[in-house]
Amino acid sequence: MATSTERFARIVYKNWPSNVFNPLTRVINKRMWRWTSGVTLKPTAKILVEFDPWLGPEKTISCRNTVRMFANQKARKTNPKCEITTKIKNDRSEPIINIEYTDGERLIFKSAHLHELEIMERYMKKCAEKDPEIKLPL
Amino acid sequence: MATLTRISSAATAVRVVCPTLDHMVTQVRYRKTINTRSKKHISVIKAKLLAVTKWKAPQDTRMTMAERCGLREERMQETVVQENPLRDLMAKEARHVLETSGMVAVLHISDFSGPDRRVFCAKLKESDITVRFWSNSVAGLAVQDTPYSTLTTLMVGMNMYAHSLNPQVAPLLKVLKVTPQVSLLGGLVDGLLMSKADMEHYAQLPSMEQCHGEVVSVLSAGVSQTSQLLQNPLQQLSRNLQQISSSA
Repeated sequence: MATSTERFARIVYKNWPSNVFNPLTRVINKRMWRWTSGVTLKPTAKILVEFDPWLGPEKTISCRNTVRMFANQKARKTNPKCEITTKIKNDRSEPIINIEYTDGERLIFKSAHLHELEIMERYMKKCAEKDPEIKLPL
Repeated sequence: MATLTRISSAATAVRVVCPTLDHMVTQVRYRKTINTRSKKHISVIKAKLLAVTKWKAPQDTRMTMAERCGLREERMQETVVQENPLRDLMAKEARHVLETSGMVAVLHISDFSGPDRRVFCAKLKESDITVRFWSNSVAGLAVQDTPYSTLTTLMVGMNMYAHSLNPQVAPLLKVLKVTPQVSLLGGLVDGLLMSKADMEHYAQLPSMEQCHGEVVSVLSAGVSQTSQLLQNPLQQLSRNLQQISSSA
């Protein structure tokens, strides 16, 4: 599993068509599929995602994709009590993902320069520490 | 042209054949020691021959690793857009909608399907707002050469587009309050690009007729005041005369 963003470098809207037809997306999507199928919200109580959509597509893309992965029906079924809220700001500030676990522990992601796979990897590792039943996808 | 010199002694004379003169004339070196150490000037013909037959190293067409890695980024940036007539058709339709509708709102959705989506669409239909889905590539193509090309900053992730002929921002916000799965990112209202906060402010503004009435009342306030001031002394005079006549 990659830990650096260089492996997931993507060109988003520097030249508009190239991000849409980026050859790296196929590689990324395969890995994403494995991680999205195993997402659990069991140890989490709240997820608050704040972003400013007018800040730029490069900085907001990972935050928006993580929201999609968390708010998936499969993920929501694992813990229906978990509150997922999106807050849209208008002050050109960086996107933040605030995760609050049931123990009271908080995990804050400043996702401007992070890829969604890195966020999911870190989040799932923390969940696995809290709940030993959770298995990480290989 | 070399000339034959007097040969003093046969031992010292050295006959040298001069090739430029077709071996007809010979140059005779008559000095004691023959100078072979200092460099002789190369003739023009010899110099030309050497230049033509000089060895040139073969060109190394192999690419360095750095160049190869650098090329990959350039190739990624120069990806050719493949022709897709269906995508072009959808983009044309989207552009028509963008140009003809008074309001186009961009909504962010996360796993919104089934009965929730149908109820949401039905509620908006009551206020003549249509909800459409276009992929980011299609929407980007539609917006590319228009003055609203800044909308491409919102075209990342899963988006839905709510459009209506007249700007119906207040009903849209009312319905969005009840659906937490959908959030408003921004949009195009009355030819102006707006963020969420701008659209909320726009919804609180009074209607056009109300604004017109307010402007008219402000403009006519000055005129009515001056006419009142002018008529006041006459009215006072008439009242006073009436009082006098009644008392009399």
